[in-house]
Amino acid sequence: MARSTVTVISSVFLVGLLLGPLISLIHFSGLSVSLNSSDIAAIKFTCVQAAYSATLSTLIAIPVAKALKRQKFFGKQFVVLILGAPFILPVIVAVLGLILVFGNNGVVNNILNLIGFAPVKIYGFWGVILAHIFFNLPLAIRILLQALNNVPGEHYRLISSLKLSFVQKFFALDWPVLKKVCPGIWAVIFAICLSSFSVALTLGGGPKATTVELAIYQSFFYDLDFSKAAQLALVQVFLVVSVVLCSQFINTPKTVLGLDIKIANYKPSFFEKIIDALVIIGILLFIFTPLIMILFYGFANIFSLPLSVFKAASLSIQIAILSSFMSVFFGLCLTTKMGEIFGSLGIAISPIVMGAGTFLMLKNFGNPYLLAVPVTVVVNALVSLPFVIRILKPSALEIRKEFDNLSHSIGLTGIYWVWWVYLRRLKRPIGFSLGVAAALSMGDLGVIVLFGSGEITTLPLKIYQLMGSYRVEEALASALLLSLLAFGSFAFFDKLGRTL
Amino acid sequence: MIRFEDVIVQIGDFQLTVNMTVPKGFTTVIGQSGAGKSTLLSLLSGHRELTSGKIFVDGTRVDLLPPFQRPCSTIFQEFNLFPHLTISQNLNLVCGKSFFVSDISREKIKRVLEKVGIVELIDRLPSEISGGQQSRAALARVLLQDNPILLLDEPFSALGPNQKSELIELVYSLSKEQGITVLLITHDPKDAKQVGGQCIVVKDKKALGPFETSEALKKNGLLKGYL
Repeated sequence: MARSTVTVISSVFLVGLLLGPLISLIHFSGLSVSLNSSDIAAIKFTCVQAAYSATLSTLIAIPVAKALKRQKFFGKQFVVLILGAPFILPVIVAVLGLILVFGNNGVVNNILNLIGFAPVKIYGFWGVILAHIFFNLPLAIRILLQALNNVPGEHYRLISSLKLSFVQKFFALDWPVLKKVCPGIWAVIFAICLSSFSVALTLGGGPKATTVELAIYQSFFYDLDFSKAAQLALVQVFLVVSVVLCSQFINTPKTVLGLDIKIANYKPSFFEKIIDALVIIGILLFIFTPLIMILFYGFANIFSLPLSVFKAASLSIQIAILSSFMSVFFGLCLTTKMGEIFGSLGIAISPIVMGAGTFLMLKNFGNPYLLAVPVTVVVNALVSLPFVIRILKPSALEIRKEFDNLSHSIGLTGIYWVWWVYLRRLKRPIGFSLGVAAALSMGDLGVIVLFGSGEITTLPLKIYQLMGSYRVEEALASALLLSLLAFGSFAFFDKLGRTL
Repeated sequence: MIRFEDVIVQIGDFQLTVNMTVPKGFTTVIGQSGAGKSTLLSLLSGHRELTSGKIFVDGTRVDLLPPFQRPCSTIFQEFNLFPHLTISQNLNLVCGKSFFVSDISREKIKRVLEKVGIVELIDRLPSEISGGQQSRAALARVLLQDNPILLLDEPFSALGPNQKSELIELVYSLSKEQGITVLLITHDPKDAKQVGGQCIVVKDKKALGPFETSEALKKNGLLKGYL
C-alpha cells in the first residue's frame, strides 16, 4: 500500500475519532450556547490565568536562558537536559510537591513566618499561576536557549571587544532574538494554559478560580447537566481554535526536545557571573525542591501503601502501554506534512472535551463507564500524538530522502519496506516517543476523572482521591510511585530504542 | 537495445533532449558536471518522469512502468546499501519478499559474493567494510537482481584511482559474462578509455551519440573541449 494511502486512511480514522465526540457535543448543546455569570467568570479566569502564566514564564525564562547561554560550568548540559523533566512529570505529583514547598505548612511559609512576613497562598489564582510557571518555564527556557545558541559566536566576540554598558549589550545582542522568539513562546504557553484542567482541579476551584475545563467537569460530575457541559466544551474548543488560528500570525517556535549547545567565545563580567549563578541556582531550586520533597516524604511510606494503590498503578501501566503503542502506531502512519496537520488536531480538542463528547456519544448506546479504559487509552494516545509525530517526522523524512531511490529501484515497498527499513531505521525515535507517550499517559488526570469509578481508578486519580480524603502521607508515597513509573517508563522505552 | 524516442525532460530552467538508440554492451556516459548525465539515467531507471517522449527496451515500452518493474538495476553515487542491515540482509532484499534471510537465499547470496570477492564479509555491516568493498556488495546485489541493464551513476567516484579501475574492470568482465548492458556515468575520460566500447556525450542540453569511444576521445573528437 502506498505511503500516502496509509496517511490518508490514518488521517480519516483520526478525524473520525475527533469528530464523533465533537458532533455529539454539538447535538447535546442543543445548538445554542447560553452562558450564565459563573460561566463567563470561568472564561475570564481561563484567559486571565493563561495570560499571566504565559507572561511570567516568558519573562522569567529570559535571564535564565541568558545565564545558561553565557556561563560555562561543569554539568551544564545535564542541567539543560533535566530541565525537560517537568514535561513528563505527572501534574498531580508536581502539585503535591508545590504544596509541600508553598502550601500552608510548606517550607516557604515556615521561613516567611520566621522572619515575620505574611504567608503565601497556594490555592486559588496564584497557585494555578505558580503551577503553570513550574510546568512551562522549562519549556520557555529551552526554546529561548536554542534561539540564543543560534546567535553566531562572532557577535559575542565583537561585543566583548567593545566597551558596552549592560543596557547596550542587551539591545545589541539579546533584543533582536527576544523580540523574534518571545511572542511565539508566549502564544504556545498561553494555548497550553488555556486547556488547564488538572492544575485547576487541584489548586483552583470555587467561583474565583475555575477554568472552563473545570467547569465542564463540574457540570458533568456534580450537576449532571450534560447540556451545560456540552455548551462549555464547545466554548473551550472555540477558545483554543481561536488562539491556534491567531498564533498562525506569530512566528511560533518549534518545541525543543534535544539541544545542541554551542559555547560562544565570550567572557562574562564578574557582575554577570554573580547574577547568572543566582539565577541558575534559583531556577534549579524552584524546579527541583518540590521533587526532592516528594522523594523525601514519599519514600517513608512507599512500602506500606494499600493494595488499592498498586491496583491503580497496575491499571495506569496497562493504559500507558496501550496508549503509547497506539500513539506511536498512528505517529508512524502520519509522518508527512499532511499527517502532522491531522495528528495535531488533538491539541484543539482537549482530553476533557474529548472525554465529555465521547461520554455523551456512548451514553446513547449503553453504560459509558464500562468503556472507561478503552476511552482513556484512545484519548491519551491522541493527546500525545502531536509530540510523537514531532519526534518521529524528522527521522522519517530523512529515511525517505536518503533511501527512497534505492528502495524503489529494488522494489522494496509496503510492509517489507516497513519491516526492513522504516522500523529499523526509526528504532531510536520510536523508543523515545514511546517513552514520552507512556510517561504522559501514566500521569494523565484528564479523561479518567469523567469515566473513572471506584473500581476503575488510575494512579493519578487515586492520588487525587487520597488528597481529597486528607490521607496526605499515602498520597505522597503514591506520588513518588507515580513519578518512578512515569520516569521509569520513559527511561525503559528510550533505552529499548537505543539497544534493540 | 535501449531506444529513447523524442525524449524531453524539463526541470525548471533545465532541459535535456534525448533521441538515440543504445546498443547492447558497455557504454559510458560522459559530460560536464550538471550537464544532465544522472538525469539521463534516472529517466531510464524511472526515478524521474519524462516531460514527453517514449523509452523502449528491446521493443517494449518502459517509461510508464514504476522503477522496480523496469529491466534496470542501478548503483547510485551514494546510499547503495542500507547501513543498518548486514551485507546478507541487504542482498536478501532482492531475493524475493521475506521477513528473514532463508537458508536458500543465503546460499544464493554467498555464491554471488564469491563472484565479487567478498564472501567473507557476508555478516558485516556496511560501516564495517571499506568503500571498495561496499561497491562490490552493491554490485553483488545488482547481479542478484538479474536485470539485463545496469546503470552506474558514478558509484566509484569516491574511491582511489586503482580501486576504481579495478572495479570498472570487474563490472566490465561480469557484464560480458552475463550479457548485461551497462551504462556507466563518468566525468573522467580515462574511465571511458579503459573499457573502450561506446560512449554517449551529454552537452548543450542534448544527449548525443552513441559514438565509438576511441573516436570521441581523439584530438578533434566530440570531447575536444572537455579533455
